[in-house]
Amino acid sequence: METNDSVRSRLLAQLPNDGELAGYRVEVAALLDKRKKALRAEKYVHRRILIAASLLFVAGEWRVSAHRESFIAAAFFIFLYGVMESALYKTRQGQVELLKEMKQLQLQVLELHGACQRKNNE
Amino acid sequence: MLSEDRARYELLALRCQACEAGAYEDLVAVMEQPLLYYAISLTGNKDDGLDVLQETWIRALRKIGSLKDPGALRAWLYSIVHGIAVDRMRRSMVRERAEQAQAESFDEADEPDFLGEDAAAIHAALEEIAVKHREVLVLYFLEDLSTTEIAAVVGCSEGTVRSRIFYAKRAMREVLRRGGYGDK
Repeated sequence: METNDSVRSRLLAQLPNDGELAGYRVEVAALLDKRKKALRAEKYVHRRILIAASLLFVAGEWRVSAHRESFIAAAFFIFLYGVMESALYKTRQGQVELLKEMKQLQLQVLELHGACQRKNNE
Repeated sequence: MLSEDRARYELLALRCQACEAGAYEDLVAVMEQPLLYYAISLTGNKDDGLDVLQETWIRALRKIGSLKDPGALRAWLYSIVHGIAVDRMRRSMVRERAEQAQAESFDEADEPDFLGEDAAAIHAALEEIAVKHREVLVLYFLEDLSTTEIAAVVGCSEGTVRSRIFYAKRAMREVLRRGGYGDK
């Protein structure tokens, strides 16, 4: 029975050549760049929420009017939301980093195991 | 698929989720060709395939952060390609035959393989078989995905995937034989 790897490489050889794909690759590179900027912006969303809450609180403190309590209450709830978002982000980031470290270790073990097997076969 | 390869894909998914520098470029470099082949095989032409793939990258980069199982990266990417390609085909009313739900039973005996044929012959034969057969066979050939993973990509049961792979191979063999290939 033929391995799929062989059929795979034969099929992929039928794709358009790199010259034909050049335009597409430029567009993908631009897309990646744009996405990275968006990600950077998303990364600090919780910080912006906390800043907005602080500004609202300061505005509420300085404003001597009937709406002062409303400002303070809104600032409090936005602050809570910001703290929650921040905690969720940190937790998720920690999980991903931990999984990444574990996967790197697993990969090293598998590579060493493969190298040992190759050596034994020789 | 080897566990080492699987671990590499998982690490790549995690690197993307951690927004590591160069991770997206690596993802595109590794998955571009098989995804493009799958997209072209579903849509039937190169231009549509490239459009589908571009849309796939946009969706994948936007949503990779919410991918729960990094080990399912390849199946997840193929399912995005599948979804986008099917949407396009539905819009252009080409997929009516593949959309017909039908009960399938099959006999697993004498499953054909593809030893001697050249790439162009297999490629051409794939284009002649039904879309529902073509998509599972391309996934099977390109990535050696499990039936569970293929079922998740194409959205049907594992039994249906197994029967489709069987019938797809048989149809391929028939097409290749008619074309003068593989008479052995």
